[in-house]
Amino acid sequence: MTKADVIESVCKEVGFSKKESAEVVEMVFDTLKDTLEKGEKIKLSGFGNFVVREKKSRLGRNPQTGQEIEISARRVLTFRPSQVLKNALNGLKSAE
Amino acid sequence: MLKSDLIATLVAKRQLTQNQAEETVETILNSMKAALCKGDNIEIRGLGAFHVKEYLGYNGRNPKTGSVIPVKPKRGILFRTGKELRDRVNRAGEPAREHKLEPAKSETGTA
Repeated sequence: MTKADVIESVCKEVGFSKKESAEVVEMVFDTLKDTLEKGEKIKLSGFGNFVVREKKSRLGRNPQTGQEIEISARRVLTFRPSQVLKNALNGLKSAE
Repeated sequence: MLKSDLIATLVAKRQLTQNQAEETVETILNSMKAALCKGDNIEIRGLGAFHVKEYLGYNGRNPKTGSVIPVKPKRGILFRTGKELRDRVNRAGEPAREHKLEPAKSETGTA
Protein backbone atom coordinates (compact mmCIF):
# COMPACT_ATOMS: atom_id res chain seq x y z
CA MET A 1 0.00 0.00 0.00
CA THR A 2 1.22 3.47 -0.85
CA LYS A 3 -0.04 6.99 -0.35
CA ALA A 4 -2.02 6.71 -3.60
CA ASP A 5 -4.10 3.87 -2.08
CA VAL A 6 -4.77 5.91 1.05
CA ILE A 7 -5.92 8.82 -1.11
CA GLU A 8 -8.15 6.44 -3.07
CA SER A 9 -9.82 5.27 0.16
CA VAL A 10 -10.47 8.82 1.31
CA CYS A 11 -11.88 9.69 -2.12
CA LYS A 12 -14.26 6.72 -2.00
CA GLU A 13 -15.28 6.74 1.66
CA VAL A 14 -15.44 10.44 2.42
CA GLY A 15 -16.53 11.52 -1.05
CA PHE A 16 -13.92 14.23 -1.67
CA SER A 17 -12.63 14.80 -5.18
CA LYS A 18 -9.37 13.15 -6.12
CA LYS A 19 -7.55 16.45 -5.79
CA GLU A 20 -9.11 17.36 -2.46
CA SER A 21 -8.42 13.86 -1.10
CA ALA A 22 -4.78 14.07 -2.13
CA GLU A 23 -4.38 17.46 -0.48
CA VAL A 24 -6.07 16.42 2.74
CA VAL A 25 -4.07 13.19 3.03
CA GLU A 26 -0.90 15.14 2.34
CA MET A 27 -1.83 17.56 5.10
CA VAL A 28 -2.42 14.73 7.57
CA PHE A 29 1.00 13.21 6.94
CA ASP A 30 2.67 16.63 6.91
CA THR A 31 1.07 17.46 10.25
CA LEU A 32 2.36 14.19 11.69
CA LYS A 33 5.86 14.90 10.38
CA ASP A 34 5.92 18.49 11.63
CA THR A 35 4.81 17.36 15.07
CA LEU A 36 7.42 14.60 15.29
CA GLU A 37 10.11 16.96 14.06
CA LYS A 38 9.41 19.11 17.09
CA GLY A 39 10.04 16.05 19.24
CA GLU A 40 6.42 15.75 20.26
CA LYS A 41 4.84 12.32 20.46
CA ILE A 42 1.71 11.30 18.60
CA LYS A 43 -0.95 9.03 20.02
CA LEU A 44 -3.50 7.66 17.59
CA SER A 45 -5.92 5.58 19.59
CA GLY A 46 -6.69 2.25 17.98
CA PHE A 47 -3.60 2.52 15.81
CA GLY A 48 -0.47 3.24 17.80
CA ASN A 49 1.97 5.77 19.17
CA PHE A 50 4.88 7.50 17.49
CA VAL A 51 7.54 8.54 19.97
CA VAL A 52 10.78 10.45 19.43
CA ARG A 53 13.54 9.01 21.58
CA GLU A 54 16.88 10.50 22.52
CA LYS A 55 19.75 8.10 22.07
CA LYS A 56 23.08 8.69 23.78
CA SER A 57 26.28 8.28 21.83
CA ARG A 58 27.74 4.79 22.03
CA LEU A 59 30.50 2.69 20.63
CA GLY A 60 29.70 0.61 17.62
CA ARG A 61 31.73 -1.46 15.26
CA ASN A 62 32.09 -1.49 11.53
CA PRO A 63 30.90 -5.03 10.87
CA GLN A 64 33.09 -5.26 7.79
CA THR A 65 36.41 -4.18 9.28
CA GLY A 66 35.80 -4.75 12.96
CA GLN A 67 36.97 -1.22 13.63
CA GLU A 68 35.40 0.54 16.62
CA ILE A 69 33.63 3.77 15.86
CA GLU A 70 31.57 6.16 17.91
CA ILE A 71 27.90 6.34 17.02
CA SER A 72 26.89 9.92 17.73
CA ALA A 73 24.00 10.90 19.97
CA ARG A 74 20.82 11.17 17.95
CA ARG A 75 17.08 11.31 18.02
CA VAL A 76 15.17 8.44 16.52
CA LEU A 77 11.51 7.79 15.87
CA THR A 78 9.83 4.65 17.13
CA PHE A 79 6.35 3.35 16.44
CA ARG A 80 4.48 1.14 18.88
CA PRO A 81 1.33 -0.42 17.51
CA SER A 82 -1.64 -0.28 19.87
CA GLN A 83 -3.01 -3.45 21.44
CA VAL A 84 -6.11 -3.04 19.29
CA LEU A 85 -4.02 -3.09 16.11
CA LYS A 86 -1.92 -6.00 17.31
CA ASN A 87 -5.05 -7.99 18.09
CA ALA A 88 -6.61 -7.16 14.73
CA LEU A 89 -3.42 -8.24 13.01
CA ASN A 90 -3.67 -11.62 14.69
CA GLY A 91 -7.35 -12.05 14.02
CA LEU A 92 -8.36 -11.55 17.64
CA LYS A 93 -11.27 -9.50 18.84
CA SER A 94 -10.29 -6.58 21.03
CA ALA A 95 -11.66 -6.30 24.53
CA GLU A 96 -13.54 -3.14 23.61
CA MET B 1 -0.60 15.17 19.73
CA LEU B 2 -3.74 13.10 19.86
CA LYS B 3 -6.08 12.01 17.08
CA SER B 4 -8.44 14.80 18.13
CA ASP B 5 -5.67 17.39 17.68
CA LEU B 6 -5.00 16.07 14.20
CA ILE B 7 -8.70 16.40 13.39
CA ALA B 8 -8.75 19.94 14.80
CA THR B 9 -5.82 20.84 12.53
CA LEU B 10 -7.77 19.75 9.45
CA VAL B 11 -10.77 21.78 10.55
CA ALA B 12 -8.64 24.86 11.15
CA LYS B 13 -6.36 24.68 8.13
CA ARG B 14 -8.60 23.25 5.42
CA GLN B 15 -12.02 24.44 6.55
CA LEU B 16 -13.38 20.89 6.73
CA THR B 17 -16.37 20.33 8.96
CA GLN B 18 -15.71 18.46 12.19
CA ASN B 19 -17.48 15.43 10.71
CA GLN B 20 -15.51 15.46 7.48
CA ALA B 21 -12.24 15.79 9.35
CA GLU B 22 -13.10 12.94 11.70
CA GLU B 23 -14.19 10.75 8.82
CA THR B 24 -11.03 11.52 6.88
CA VAL B 25 -8.68 10.67 9.71
CA GLU B 26 -10.60 7.49 10.55
CA THR B 27 -10.62 6.44 6.90
CA ILE B 28 -6.88 6.92 6.59
CA LEU B 29 -6.15 4.92 9.72
CA ASN B 30 -8.69 2.22 8.90
CA SER B 31 -7.41 1.74 5.37
CA MET B 32 -3.88 1.39 6.72
CA LYS B 33 -5.07 -1.00 9.37
CA ALA B 34 -6.97 -3.10 6.82
CA ALA B 35 -3.90 -3.32 4.60
CA LEU B 36 -1.71 -4.46 7.48
CA CYS B 37 -4.30 -7.04 8.54
CA LYS B 38 -4.26 -8.45 5.01
CA GLY B 39 -0.51 -8.84 5.45
CA ASP B 40 0.27 -5.95 3.09
CA ASN B 41 3.19 -3.68 3.80
CA ILE B 42 2.67 0.08 3.73
CA GLU B 43 5.09 2.62 2.40
CA ILE B 44 4.37 6.30 2.84
CA ARG B 45 7.13 8.29 1.17
CA GLY B 46 8.78 10.72 3.53
CA LEU B 47 7.09 9.26 6.61
CA GLY B 48 8.12 5.64 6.72
CA ALA B 49 7.20 2.06 6.04
CA PHE B 50 5.21 -0.44 8.05
CA HIS B 51 6.09 -4.08 7.58
CA VAL B 52 4.12 -7.04 8.81
CA LYS B 53 6.41 -9.61 10.34
CA GLU B 54 5.43 -13.20 10.92
CA TYR B 55 6.87 -14.67 14.10
CA LEU B 56 7.17 -18.43 14.52
CA GLY B 57 5.78 -20.09 17.59
CA TYR B 58 8.20 -21.23 20.26
CA ASN B 59 8.21 -22.80 23.67
CA GLY B 60 8.35 -20.18 26.36
CA ARG B 61 8.38 -20.50 30.10
CA ASN B 62 6.33 -19.05 32.85
CA PRO B 63 9.08 -17.15 34.69
CA LYS B 64 7.32 -17.65 38.00
CA THR B 65 6.75 -21.39 37.92
CA GLY B 66 9.23 -22.46 35.24
CA SER B 67 6.61 -24.51 33.44
CA VAL B 68 6.89 -24.76 29.67
CA ILE B 69 4.21 -22.92 27.73
CA PRO B 70 3.89 -23.06 23.96
CA VAL B 71 3.81 -19.57 22.42
CA LYS B 72 1.74 -19.53 19.25
CA PRO B 73 2.95 -18.02 15.97
CA LYS B 74 1.96 -14.37 15.71
CA ARG B 75 2.28 -11.31 13.55
CA GLY B 76 3.78 -8.00 14.55
CA ILE B 77 4.49 -4.67 12.92
CA LEU B 78 7.89 -3.22 12.22
CA PHE B 79 8.11 0.49 11.44
CA ARG B 80 11.06 1.93 9.62
CA THR B 81 11.28 5.72 9.55
CA GLY B 82 11.59 7.27 6.10
CA LYS B 83 14.72 9.15 5.16
CA GLU B 84 13.12 12.59 5.12
CA LEU B 85 11.52 12.21 8.53
CA ARG B 86 14.55 10.49 10.05
CA ASP B 87 16.70 13.46 9.06
CA ARG B 88 14.15 16.01 10.19
CA VAL B 89 13.69 14.38 13.60
CA ASN B 90 17.41 14.05 14.11
CA ARG B 91 18.36 17.48 12.84
CA ALA B 92 15.96 19.12 15.25
CA GLY B 93 17.93 17.38 18.03
CA GLU B 94 21.25 18.84 16.94
CA PRO B 95 22.20 20.20 20.40
CA ALA B 96 22.56 16.60 21.57
CA ARG B 97 25.68 16.39 19.44
CA GLU B 98 27.94 18.61 21.55
CA HIS B 99 30.66 16.10 22.41
CA LYS B 100 34.10 16.38 20.83
CA LEU B 101 33.16 19.19 18.51
CA GLU B 102 33.59 22.14 20.84
CA PRO B 103 35.27 21.12 24.09
CA ALA B 104 35.71 24.80 25.02
CA LYS B 105 32.00 25.44 25.11
CA SER B 106 31.45 24.14 28.64
CA GLU B 107 33.50 26.98 30.14
CA THR B 108 30.65 29.36 29.67
CA GLY B 109 28.50 27.27 31.96
CA THR B 110 24.77 27.36 31.42
CA ALA B 111 24.84 30.65 29.53
